[in-house]
Amino acid sequence: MTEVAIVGIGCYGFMPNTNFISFREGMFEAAVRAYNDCGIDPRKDVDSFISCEEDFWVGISICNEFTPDQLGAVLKPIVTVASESLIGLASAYMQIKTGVFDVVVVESHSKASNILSYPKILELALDPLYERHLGVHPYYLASLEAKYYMNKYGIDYSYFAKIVEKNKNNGLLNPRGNFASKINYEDIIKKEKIFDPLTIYDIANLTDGFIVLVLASKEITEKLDCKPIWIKGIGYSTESSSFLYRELPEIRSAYDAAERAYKMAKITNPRRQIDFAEVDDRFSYRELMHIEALKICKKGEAYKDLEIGSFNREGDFPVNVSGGYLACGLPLDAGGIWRVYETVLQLRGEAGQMQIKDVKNAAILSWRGINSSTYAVVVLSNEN
Amino acid sequence: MKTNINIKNRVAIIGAGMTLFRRKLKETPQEITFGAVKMALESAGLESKDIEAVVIGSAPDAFDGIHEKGEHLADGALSYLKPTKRVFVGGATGVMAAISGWWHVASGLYDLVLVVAEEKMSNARPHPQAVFLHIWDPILEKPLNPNLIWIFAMEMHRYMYKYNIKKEDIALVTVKNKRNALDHPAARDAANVTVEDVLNSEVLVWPVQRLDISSVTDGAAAIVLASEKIARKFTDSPVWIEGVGWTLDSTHWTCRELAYPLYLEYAGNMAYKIAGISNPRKQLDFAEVYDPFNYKELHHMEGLKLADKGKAPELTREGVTQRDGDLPICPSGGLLGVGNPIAAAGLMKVCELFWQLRYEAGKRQVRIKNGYALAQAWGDLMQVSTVIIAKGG
Repeated sequence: MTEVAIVGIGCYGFMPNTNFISFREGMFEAAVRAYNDCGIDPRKDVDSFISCEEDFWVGISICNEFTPDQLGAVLKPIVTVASESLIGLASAYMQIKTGVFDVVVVESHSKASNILSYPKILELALDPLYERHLGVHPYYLASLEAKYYMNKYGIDYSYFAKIVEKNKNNGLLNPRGNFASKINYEDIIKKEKIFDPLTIYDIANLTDGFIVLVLASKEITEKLDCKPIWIKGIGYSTESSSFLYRELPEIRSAYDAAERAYKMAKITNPRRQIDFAEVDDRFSYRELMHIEALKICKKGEAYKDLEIGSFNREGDFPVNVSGGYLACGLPLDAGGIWRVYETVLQLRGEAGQMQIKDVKNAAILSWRGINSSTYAVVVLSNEN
Repeated sequence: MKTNINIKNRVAIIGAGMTLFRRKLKETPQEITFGAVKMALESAGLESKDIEAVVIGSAPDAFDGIHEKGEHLADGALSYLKPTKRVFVGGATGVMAAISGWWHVASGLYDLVLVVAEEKMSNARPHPQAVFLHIWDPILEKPLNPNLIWIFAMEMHRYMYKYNIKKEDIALVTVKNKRNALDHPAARDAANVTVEDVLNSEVLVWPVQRLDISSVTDGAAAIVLASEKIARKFTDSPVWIEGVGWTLDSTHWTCRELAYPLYLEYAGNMAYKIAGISNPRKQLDFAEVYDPFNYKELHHMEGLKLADKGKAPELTREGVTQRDGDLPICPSGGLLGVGNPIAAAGLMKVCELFWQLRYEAGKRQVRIKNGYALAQAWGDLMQVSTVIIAKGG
């Protein structure tokens, strides 16, 4: 069975507001960059396309109608995976594995600047009978979860502040670091709480962004002028959509997704076999939970490694060297493949100022947001 | 696409199920989903813990009024700690979900996959047509406030004009499908109507009349897919998925020839190529083509090369497409007869392939000669088609 590599990457428009282009123009820009990156012509060389988008984020009832033209996908197989973009990546991976397709393109984007009522849309994702009518910002769930996590493992807010400090400063080296700042621990700790214990710094801002990835089978990869990054393992999992049916800070499906990806990649000791990770940090405390889900640390002990600086860019296991969502902004469902984009740059050695040395394997964990229990994990490597 | 296609893992359908298709079902979307899932699992002799991955298909979120509907329906699909995702290509979602299930298994990653499609349209008030007010280009088209029936009226008109087709011939499709559905236990719109009834029904947007259109429906359908190595453990007569194809055309429907669905020809070619079918007209025993409007059945038959351009009405008039004809089309009763819960209607057609090819269709049973059959769905702005070819035995 063929192996699958990411051969081309394209990113465009990482900024809080891209009011000078439409979402379709943004997709075009990202697609052109990705196709040029590996030197392919979408009309001739690409067999199948996948876009990851949700109607309510786009604001069009059947958003998938507006995808083919700007990707060069007219009269080609193209499907929308209405889910986190890493799950779209998993679909592309499976399509190539069937042996029918050689080159598959994955697209996802965020035009969050078009959204007037983000909390209201989030609220529409809650159960209509039992969960919706509280009339408060759904981020209160994050507040509950953070408190639960703090109490359970006996940690205080200072660790969350350290995450914010680390990521916002990491982002200063990233050209896509919209919300990066030279903020320090004392400033964060003094800030007023908005979703107690979270301050405004602990919650990622929304950003616009357009990402396109090109995947190819091994035989095609050899013909292309590119630096392939191999998908070693990929897994995703869902628990229950309703928070009434799940124990909030347990995130069982995140552990499950990581297990699936590690099993496929034959990884038994993630801390040693993986060199760095990109994990979802739309809320600062979530980074700790996700590091634990990736089995980099034992459950409830990630804060110990954080304290000794293991997760810093010069630490022994860098996490979110890109700056994560806290520094670059949250591009809605495109977050998963945006992290793939950042990781591919690192693994190729093209990350410029951000570059960390001697990296071979990386893990990425993405999440769909506070209303959801869907997680996806992918393991990438620059060696086949 | 590869020129020499070799699919190592063949995929079998081993179970199918569907709920009643009705307007205003009392169940919630999750409960409707569960109804179809339960029937499909029981028909395959499986429990939910055996399933390795789940694919959900559902059309616009706005029908149910739930953002990230795939997440919401996951509970009903019994997908606790399973890889779960939702695919979405407008009206063609039902067959696309089955295709997506196909690549889960054909990739060799999973052995047992559940595919379920659900739609609860009647939640939208006063009428789900309002959801379609927001499917247009926000700058060029939305200011005109078009609705779906308008553009399909344009397409129907263009089709009738180009090939000189009479409304009487198109009405025969409604008559046939509604009659076929009389034998379908889950049907909502089964009836014995005549061509006169169709021609005398209320005009919505000329030339579209009330009986030319399928109706707003709630419902769900589900199938279970298995890999070749384990399929025969569960059933002696699996139905194999031999070919899949899907294609999207440009968003700008105003720039296209509406009389012929070119995107369907491409999707059909892809599926025929993977299945190794060179003469679909001869090799297919029957086809479940997508018939939300009666003229669409004819349109799609031509796109799939089951009829020459402009000649599908002739075949219908001659009775070729009847259940006892040479090439039965929509023996289930289709969307016009069984009902049109958008995504579920597409998957219902795949269920029908399963039942027919296993001789389980009861009174709806057609004669099986070569064992090949096809299901197709269509959607978005008259722009996408999905095709699946199954083989019995």
